[in-house]
Amino acid sequence: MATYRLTIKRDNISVQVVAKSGALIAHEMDRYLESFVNRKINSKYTFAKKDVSQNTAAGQTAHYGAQSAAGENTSGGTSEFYIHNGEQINITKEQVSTRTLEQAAPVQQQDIAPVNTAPDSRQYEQKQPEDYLHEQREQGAPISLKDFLVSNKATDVFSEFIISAYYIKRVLNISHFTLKMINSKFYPITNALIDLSMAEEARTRGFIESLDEDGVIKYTLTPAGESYFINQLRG
Amino acid sequence: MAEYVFKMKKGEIEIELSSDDAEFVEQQLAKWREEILKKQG
Repeated sequence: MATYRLTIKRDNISVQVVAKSGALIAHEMDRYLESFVNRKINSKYTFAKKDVSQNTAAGQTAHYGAQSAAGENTSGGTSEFYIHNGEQINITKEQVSTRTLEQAAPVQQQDIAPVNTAPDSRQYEQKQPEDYLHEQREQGAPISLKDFLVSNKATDVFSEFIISAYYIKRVLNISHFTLKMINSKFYPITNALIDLSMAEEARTRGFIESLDEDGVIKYTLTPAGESYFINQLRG
Repeated sequence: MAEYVFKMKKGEIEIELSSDDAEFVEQQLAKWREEILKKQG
């Protein structure tokens, strides 16, 4: 049976989708095609044929994980692993060597047309691979955040924040969130923002915990926060 | 068995498709080429 593999890399983050179904990969490719082309891409693409017999199964994983570093990859490690509808999705963090960055810079200057400054392209620039994963989780969720908020007892923005944190953890099965991530879902629905002071209040009351991950502050709902939702806010 | 790789790079973003299904990769490559040429034309 054929195997299909799609890898998207940006900076030092790599998302890899491995599937036995070409339709899934084609669907993902179409999504990226639209975003890519709308940026007035002046692409540089290659088509190569290589002998798989040179790679063992483990060797292939290492090979694909290392390619964004142009053969210079060092100690990359898989940070998350999911099984979604029988397909594998790996997120691999890589350490890109200085030489790779130096090689990449001229390519960006010489080969790339001026970036389209339309709002949609700016949004695409800011999207990280994990954003696409979150979108996939949302699309597969049994209930939207909006409906989840309505169906529970939100009395103010703070309680909406706790309900949203519960939704992210228990409905979307995403263990940690950033303020940017939760606000991207929260603001369009409530027209309110969760700021640092609100997060600090929730942390002080023991409802959320924070952790510093590579300079990015991430939060997760604690058992106390879940209890607060179940006992006070659940509809 | 042969494996076919289609790689596209723009700035810091890189997309790579690989498969041992040559026809599938060929179709995807054609789709991308067509879309890019259409937009750039």
